[in-house]
Amino acid sequence: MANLLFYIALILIWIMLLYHMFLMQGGYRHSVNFEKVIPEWRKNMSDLPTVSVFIPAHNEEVVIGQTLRAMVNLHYPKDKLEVIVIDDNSSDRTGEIAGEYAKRYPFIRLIETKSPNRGIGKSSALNEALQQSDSEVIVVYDADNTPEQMAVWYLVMGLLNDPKSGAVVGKFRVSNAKQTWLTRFINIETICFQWMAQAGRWKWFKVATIPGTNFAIRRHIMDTLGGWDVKALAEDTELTVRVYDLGYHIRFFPAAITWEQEPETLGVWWKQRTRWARGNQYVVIKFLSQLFKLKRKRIIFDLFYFFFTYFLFFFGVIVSNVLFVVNLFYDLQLQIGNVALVLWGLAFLLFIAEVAISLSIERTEMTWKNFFYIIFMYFTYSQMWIILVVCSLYLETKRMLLRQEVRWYKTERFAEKKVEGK
Amino acid sequence: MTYKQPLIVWMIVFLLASSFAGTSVKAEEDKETAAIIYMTNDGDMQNDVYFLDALLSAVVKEVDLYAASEVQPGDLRKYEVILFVGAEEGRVPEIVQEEIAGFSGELLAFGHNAEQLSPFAEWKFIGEEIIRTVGGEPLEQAKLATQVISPAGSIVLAEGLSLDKQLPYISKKGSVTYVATSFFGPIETLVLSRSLFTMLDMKTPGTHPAFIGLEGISPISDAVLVLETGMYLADREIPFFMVVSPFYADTDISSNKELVHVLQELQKNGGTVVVETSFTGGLPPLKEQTFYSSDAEYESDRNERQDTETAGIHAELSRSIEALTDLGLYPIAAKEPKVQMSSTEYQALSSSFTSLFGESVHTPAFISKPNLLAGMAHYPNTLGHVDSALPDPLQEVRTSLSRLRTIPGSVISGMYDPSEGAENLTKLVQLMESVPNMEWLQYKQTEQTVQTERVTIFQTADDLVVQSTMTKTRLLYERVIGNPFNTFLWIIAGVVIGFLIAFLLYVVSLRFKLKKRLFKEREHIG
Repeated sequence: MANLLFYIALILIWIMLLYHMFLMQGGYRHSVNFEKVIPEWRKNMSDLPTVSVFIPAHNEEVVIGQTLRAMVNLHYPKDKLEVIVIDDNSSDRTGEIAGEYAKRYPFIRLIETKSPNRGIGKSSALNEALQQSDSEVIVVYDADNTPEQMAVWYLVMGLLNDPKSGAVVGKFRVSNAKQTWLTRFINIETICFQWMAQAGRWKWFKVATIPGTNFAIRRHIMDTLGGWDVKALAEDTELTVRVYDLGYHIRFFPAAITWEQEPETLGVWWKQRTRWARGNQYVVIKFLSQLFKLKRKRIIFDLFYFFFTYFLFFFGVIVSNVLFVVNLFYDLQLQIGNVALVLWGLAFLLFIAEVAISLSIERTEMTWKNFFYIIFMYFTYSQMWIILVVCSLYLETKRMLLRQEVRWYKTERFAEKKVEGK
Repeated sequence: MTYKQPLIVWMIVFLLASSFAGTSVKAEEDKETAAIIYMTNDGDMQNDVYFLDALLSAVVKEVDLYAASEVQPGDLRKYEVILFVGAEEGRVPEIVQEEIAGFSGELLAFGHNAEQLSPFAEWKFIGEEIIRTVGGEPLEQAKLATQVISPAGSIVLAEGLSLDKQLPYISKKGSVTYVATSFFGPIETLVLSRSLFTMLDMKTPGTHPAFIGLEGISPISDAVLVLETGMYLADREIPFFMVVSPFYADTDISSNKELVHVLQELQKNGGTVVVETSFTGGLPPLKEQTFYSSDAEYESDRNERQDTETAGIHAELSRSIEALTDLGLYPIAAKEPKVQMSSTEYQALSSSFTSLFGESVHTPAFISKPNLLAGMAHYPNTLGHVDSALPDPLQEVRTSLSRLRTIPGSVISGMYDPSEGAENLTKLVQLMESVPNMEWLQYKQTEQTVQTERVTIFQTADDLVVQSTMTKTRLLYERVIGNPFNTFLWIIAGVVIGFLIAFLLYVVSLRFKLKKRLFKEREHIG
């Protein structure tokens, strides 16, 4: 029995590792080639569409100011741009700060969520903005995001030059990466996610996932879909599946860059990631039952990827860890031999290599410090994710069985620590 | 008187002498064929019958076994020796009585029912008596023996003693011998072995064959100690065996290169490799027949188990033989992996070996060929083991030796663990050589065959021929096919290693190139 479990765990883990090895190659190739289209695409940027930037905000007084400053600096005709801050039942100065910007800049608007969209979560807030706008393109940013000047420009460039794309997603970076050991891990994680999962899947399969921020979507698609799913904790993943099911693809265009703040404490991190994990599990379960009714078969593959990640891969890792610990105290007489040890070592090295390749794509991230963080991450951050996924699965299962309501957890923000002289 | 008269006298003397010599030669010539007829309660052979089979096979070329109820008219005519074993009281079948009545060769009867056989008409069987010693040796526990009064002119080869009287234990008159029990503990076997040649009217051997072996050699053995003990024997020109287990847990002997080299050297210097496998059958014991819903189901399960056992044994044997042959070590025999083996296991062994070494409970202190071993010769370890944990490590050896000296033609054989060092080995050899007329067995001069599907090893007096179809390519191919999942994993490992090498080269190239800025990024972040 131990041998069987071990083999199953080995297969599950290595399918994932090899798949990511494959994705990493695609991601790297994409990183080298994606800018080559820009000169040609620029020629089609004459007749620009109207753009509404949605910024849902609930108690975001710490960060909303810098976000709106970034919006002010966006390189996009201001007569075709509107920035809508959706104040969702804030009890702090969010509304007041946004209101001041709205007074100074005509393209910035402040709206408040109304019942039944009030205080429920991000999806509801976005739906409120959807009702109160009419531009051709919708761009979404989280309230802690500071997009680069050309971000919206590039997102729109992607939509204009790729008519088959229903949405275009850019890249996000971590603005407080150096703050704590946790933010350093998250920084590495986000770089890996985008260059491996996003870029790799886009390169090989023309598949990408909406990450919840720094993306542009055609309004008529949102109208057709009826807005965001208010029951989904991961509304971005849920939207992704429906966009694909309409027959469009989602383009990953990392020329559009935004910077966002990540949790600096474990508690905040845990709550945020639990929400993501539960949200993605919800999406998998929601669509897995309708798997073969989906029109775009490649999204089936992607759904299966999520299923594999959240259910099978982590199961394999947990089983593998349990067998390892039990074997320390009781000889399970595992028969696999030396190849198991070799594969264990290679898994570790592969992890380091893949992460390092991702970091090497971002200038200044491939450092010795980060290299040691990668090694440290393998034994700490990655293991934390395992525990988190298990807890999330338990919570999500409990919610489904007891038919509990979804509760949106708002990520706590941190004030940017000023360095002397800056 | 002319010169012819002395010639005629000499011719008469010569003829008389020849006939006389012929009689004595006839009385002591080798026996070729023997039969054992046994009467047990359930008709099945018991351990004691196996022992007699083994004992007889040491001195007789061919031994056949019959349950008394299966004997047919004419069956027993061809035999020179018949043993009748009455394990349980009962009526001897008429056919057996008639066959034995007409038998003129050596007849030996054990235990019950001998009074029903006409050659024993002169013996008086008085009932049973408890005896406490046999042949001057105290029994472990008192036992019942048939009390018999042997006829006039008979000789008592061994006596049993009760509290107050002496009883004939082995008594013989002419070609008829009676033994008062049909069950044999260590003392009874000792006494029987001592009297064996006399009971059969065979010439008592003048020598004791001897052999010595180094046992317990495995992938984790200390090569230095193996070399030290082996070379001690080699330097003294004593032929010796090396009992080698090529596998230990997950370790292969090929991983201990030093040990392999030592064994190769010792093989050239008089050592003979004996392979030891670790198989135990691997199956739980067969349930009692009552657990099955039908006889057919029981038979089916039994047959299936036998097939599984046999297949498992073959596989393990082949693996061991081929592993050693691949290293230039040529096993010529096998060591019994355990004391109590089934007939199926012996059958499986016999397909690969012609000789077996070990300490089976059924074998006497002779080199024998019992039916149970399906044609294999058995080389017993008669001296026991040297135990360095005891105050006198050779205590068991001394005790065994004192008894073996009293058994004509008995094998003086011992096994020694090289990890004990050479000191006690020296003492062991000295003890063995202290036995008068002891001769080291020249095993390398005997004909032996060891074979698997891919390897055949022939040993003759002149040569050792090894035929093998194992090439490196074939071995690799079989390893790949034999364990495709493992092979697949190694391929994955290879692919990943390739990827990692590519990554390392990429990192090195980055260090040497000046990377162009890929993105416009704010300076104070990242």
